[in-house]
Amino acid sequence: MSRLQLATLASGLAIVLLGALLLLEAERTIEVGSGWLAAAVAGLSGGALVASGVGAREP
Amino acid sequence: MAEKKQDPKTEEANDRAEAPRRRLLRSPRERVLWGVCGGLGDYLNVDPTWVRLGFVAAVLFGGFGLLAYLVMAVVVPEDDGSGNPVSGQRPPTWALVLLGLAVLFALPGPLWGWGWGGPHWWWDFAGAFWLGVLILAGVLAYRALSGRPLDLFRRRGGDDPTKAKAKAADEPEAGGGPPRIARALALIAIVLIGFSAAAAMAVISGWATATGNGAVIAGVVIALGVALGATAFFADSRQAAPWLLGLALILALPAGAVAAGDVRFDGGIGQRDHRPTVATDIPADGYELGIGQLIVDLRDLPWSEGQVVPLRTELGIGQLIVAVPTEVCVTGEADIKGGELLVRGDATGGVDAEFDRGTPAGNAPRLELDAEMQFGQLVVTDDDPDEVDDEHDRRGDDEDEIAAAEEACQR
Repeated sequence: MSRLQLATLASGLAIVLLGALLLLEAERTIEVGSGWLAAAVAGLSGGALVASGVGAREP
Repeated sequence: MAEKKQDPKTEEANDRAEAPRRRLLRSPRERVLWGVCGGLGDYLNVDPTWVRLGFVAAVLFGGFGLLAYLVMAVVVPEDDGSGNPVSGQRPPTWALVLLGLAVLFALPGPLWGWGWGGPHWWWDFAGAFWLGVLILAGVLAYRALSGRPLDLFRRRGGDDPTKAKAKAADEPEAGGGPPRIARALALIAIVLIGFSAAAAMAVISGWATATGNGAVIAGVVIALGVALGATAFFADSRQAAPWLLGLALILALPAGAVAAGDVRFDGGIGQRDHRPTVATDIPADGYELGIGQLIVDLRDLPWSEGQVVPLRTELGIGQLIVAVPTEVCVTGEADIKGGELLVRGDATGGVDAEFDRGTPAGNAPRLELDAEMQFGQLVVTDDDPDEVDDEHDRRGDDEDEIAAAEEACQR
């Protein structure tokens, strides 16, 4: 097993959280307001992209 | 011995033959974006500023200047500083991306139901043609990338395919393999196909979420996230990480947008026509439709003084028509995210349009409306629903019907 790349792991975690949020919303387990949901989706997507970008710069 | 004097015309011809052939290349020095105008200026012996102004002016002619610039940025090689093209350089990625987008918007955009001229007009006109163009582009891309470009794209000079292949194998850095124009076309085709595939996936994701299948999309996003996280542990699989991330975002962003916008298309597609003859025929949870036309004709109900008939309706996209007798007072609320509300002749339009009328003091028979729509037109009328047509949304307020509705509510 090679060296763990934390940034890529964080990126994957952000996507898992994004999927979990969408799943809970789709199943009506949680009721998030439109604005908060949009902000959470944008934040997690942005976080995943930033983490992925950081990961790409690592050797 | 006296030197033989040459004819001036012959001398000029010899000079031309000896002078190196000037090539059209993108300038590495005179550049704002990709050096196209600088290169053209060098080639034509014109100040690049004039060329830039020419391109800007050409943008005004249906975007031609922009498209021409992007095509040149992709097809014309860059100058290496000595008047020769940079060897083995790929076309600028952003120029390819922008060109792909421009082509998608300008040409086959309406193929997918959007673009200029209204949805699907181009598909009706020449949809099959653009489908053919896409397939042809895919074939060309495959042939070019597999080293078997069509004769059309081979370099001039008469190399036969076998020799060209052998040369390409021997001298990959010296311009062997598919020529630049074929590679550029192949890349454009790949970008185009990639955009189309991404757009299709995004539409499927948004559609699935709007029709109540968001859990499936969410599950796929979670699986992609797990796979992405797993690549952190294995160096060999890290090349897959950007693709997994891109795919996850293509699916998650439209699903998130649809969920945040509370867009729902439950109830199927098509036309639904409900004409109850007694109030108990109306289901307690009302009528719903995903996309299409929903007609609820209540004119045959036995309306009586003081009677209140609750009606709940839900429509995703389309037209909802509720017909009531003239003497019935319409109260309650109707919300539409985008489109037009036309309640008894009173027209309201735009984003988040709503109708809200409280209980009147009189004893008139009353329809208590609870209507919800995403996009389209909601009509509450005393006309025959079959006679409500597109003209309705261009008429605006109907003073006669407004007066009749007011009178009904004041009885």
